Amino acid sequence: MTPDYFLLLLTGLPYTFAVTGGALLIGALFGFPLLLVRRSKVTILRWTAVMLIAVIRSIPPIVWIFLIFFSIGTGVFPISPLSAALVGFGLIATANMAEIYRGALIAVHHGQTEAAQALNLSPFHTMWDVILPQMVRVCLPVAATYAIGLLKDAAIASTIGVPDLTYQGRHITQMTLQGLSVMGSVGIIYVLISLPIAWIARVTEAHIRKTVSL
Amino acid sequence: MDQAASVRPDPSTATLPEDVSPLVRMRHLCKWFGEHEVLRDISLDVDSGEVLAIVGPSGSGKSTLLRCINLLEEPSAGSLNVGELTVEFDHPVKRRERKALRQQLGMVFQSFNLFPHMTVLENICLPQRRVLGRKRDEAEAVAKDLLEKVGLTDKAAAFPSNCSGGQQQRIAIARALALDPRVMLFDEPTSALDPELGLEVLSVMFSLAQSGMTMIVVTHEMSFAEKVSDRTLFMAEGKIVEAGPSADVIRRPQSERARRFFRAVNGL
Amino acid sequence: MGATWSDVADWIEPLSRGFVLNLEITFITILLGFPGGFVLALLVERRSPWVRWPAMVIVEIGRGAPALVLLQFVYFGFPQIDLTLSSFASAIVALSVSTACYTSEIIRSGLAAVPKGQKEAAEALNFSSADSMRFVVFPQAAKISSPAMMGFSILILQSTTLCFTIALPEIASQAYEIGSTTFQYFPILSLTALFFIFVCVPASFLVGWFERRSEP
Ligand SMILES: Nc1ncnc2c1ncn2[C@@H]1O[C@H](COP(=O)(O)OP(=O)(O)OP(=O)(O)O)[C@@H](O)[C@H]1O
Ligand SMILES: [Mg+2]
Repeated sequence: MTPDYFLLLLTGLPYTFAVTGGALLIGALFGFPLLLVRRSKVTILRWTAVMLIAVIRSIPPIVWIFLIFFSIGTGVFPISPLSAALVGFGLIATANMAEIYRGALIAVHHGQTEAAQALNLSPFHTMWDVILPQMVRVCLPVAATYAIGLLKDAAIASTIGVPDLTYQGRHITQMTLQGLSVMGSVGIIYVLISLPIAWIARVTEAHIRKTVSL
Repeated sequence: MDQAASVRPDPSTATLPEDVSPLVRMRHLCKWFGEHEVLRDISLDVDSGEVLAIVGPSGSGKSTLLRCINLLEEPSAGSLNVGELTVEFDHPVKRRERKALRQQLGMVFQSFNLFPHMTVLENICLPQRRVLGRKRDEAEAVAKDLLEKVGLTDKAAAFPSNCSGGQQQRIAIARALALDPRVMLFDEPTSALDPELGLEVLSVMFSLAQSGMTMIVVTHEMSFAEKVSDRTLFMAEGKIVEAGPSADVIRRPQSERARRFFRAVNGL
Repeated sequence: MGATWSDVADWIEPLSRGFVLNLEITFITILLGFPGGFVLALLVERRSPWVRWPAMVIVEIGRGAPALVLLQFVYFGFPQIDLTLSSFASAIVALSVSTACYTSEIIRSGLAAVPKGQKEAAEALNFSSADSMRFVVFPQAAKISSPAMMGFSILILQSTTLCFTIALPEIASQAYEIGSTTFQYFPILSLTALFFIFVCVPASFLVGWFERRSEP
């Protein structure tokens, strides 16, 4: 693979980061309200959230983004491949982040709520001052691990024409017929990107053991 | 008794004269964990049919000594002889040596370590079938016989999780005995148990001793050491500080270190 | 515009045919990938660096690279060294490798979760190390890992749709083809989604139930 081709490959990186980061951000934002609904006292709301999360997670990402890109995109609102990917992966990330938040909430819950109540803290302050700060820390390593998963799922955006790393890899493969080295490089680049994220996961995990009462 | 008494003049000697051949003979055993010397030049003999108690403060190396005998830990130096087999620790232990050595040793752990996914009967039968190559019928016959001896015939089909701690430990003893060991090693077999349940286990160990089994028992139960064991060995900081007839060592310790220890355990 | 019920009835057949292919690939991938993961887990735990390091590199690459990229690496890359695999074979190879690498970590933590005393007891009873693994450690590790392995099986089924990119006539390809000829993308893709909902939602609840049951 010539340097020219390698540079072409790298032009895919911003798109890979955009899809991954954008979806993660969407998930981190909307995952929280979904968690609240998931833990609502109203049974019907709670079950709606449970089913919604299960359904979102049960449909393969490629089907999701086809559904969004082709059916909406060819219909009333034309939608760019990048937006379609962001909506699709954002949706999936929302469901997954809600579950990650829930896991963290359960992990922290134990004696902490009771202790806060015994100290006569209001429900808001119990959440805001006691539970949330610990939740965030518990979440971090799990969310970092999830980010790596999302990074790799985001490669699927290439199938609807988002010119990301994988897309460029296949494009160059078609031009050079050197799939082994080209797709090999693509794979290695993904591994290299995920290494620092994995490192963050490990470091934060070691850190929370000390600062959170699990 | 007389023989043991002849050892008495030097209370830190746990060995017999060289011309006597004991069942277990240990010479100049050392064990290092990295920079930390846990066993320092241990020499010890255990005669056939003898019950030896090992006592001493926490961290003194009692468990390590026991685990070195069946090579769960590999000693760093010295030699070990059980029956006809001698292992020198100047080279890494060979698999065949390890197997031959363990063939003669049964081990009972503080935490029982029964296999939770097997019934009590399977726990006792599987090792016989895999290690000794016994047929199922034969293994079951041995297992049932042993279960009767430890008073747990009715638990054969139960899973360990449905047995009390005392029952589990008695099953663990039966499991070890099923392999026909010549020496039984016990590492604090009752310290994870309520006193009452511990008593069940101690009574099984007592009858085992009566039947002539050679036993090495790490214990915190001074009454067991005194009543059941022929000899008691007091360890501290990885060394044998005192050894001799149990009553002497426990009642009339010679060294200041041992006196302090027994005063503390007896709450005096 | 708009699909009729008779359209939908016509689509069921090709989609089912595609979905059977997804299920077949999932099944074979599990059959090859899970044992592969077990072997990798054992290799990564070996003391010899000559075994451990290559195994760790394989695991890290297999886990770090997207399954989609592995798939295209095999399908488009292997012909470069005169090894042309059918799309079905490519799918099996790529997904099995990816599964083996992922599950090796699940299995490894399962093996590590078996209390140390269990291995010691087996050792003290003079079990050979193979017997200790087979009769004592593996059954307990398998029980600990099984919810995670079942959960991963669902992900394998979902990932078989990636074979769309290597021209395998599985369900996503079938749906895309029907969509591109009829322009009825929304109904056909929704129908495709339903196939997965019917299988994966109950399966995920089942896994959740297993998880809760095995926890306390
Ligand atoms: N695997 C190991 N690695 C490093 N150090 C160890 C290991 N096992 C034991 N030690 C150390 O060796 C020393 C002796 O331990 P050992 O378990 O033999 O003591 P013990 O006399 O059995 O104590 P206790 O009465 O608490 O069981 C301790 O300081 C312990 O920390
Ligand atoms: Mg100990």
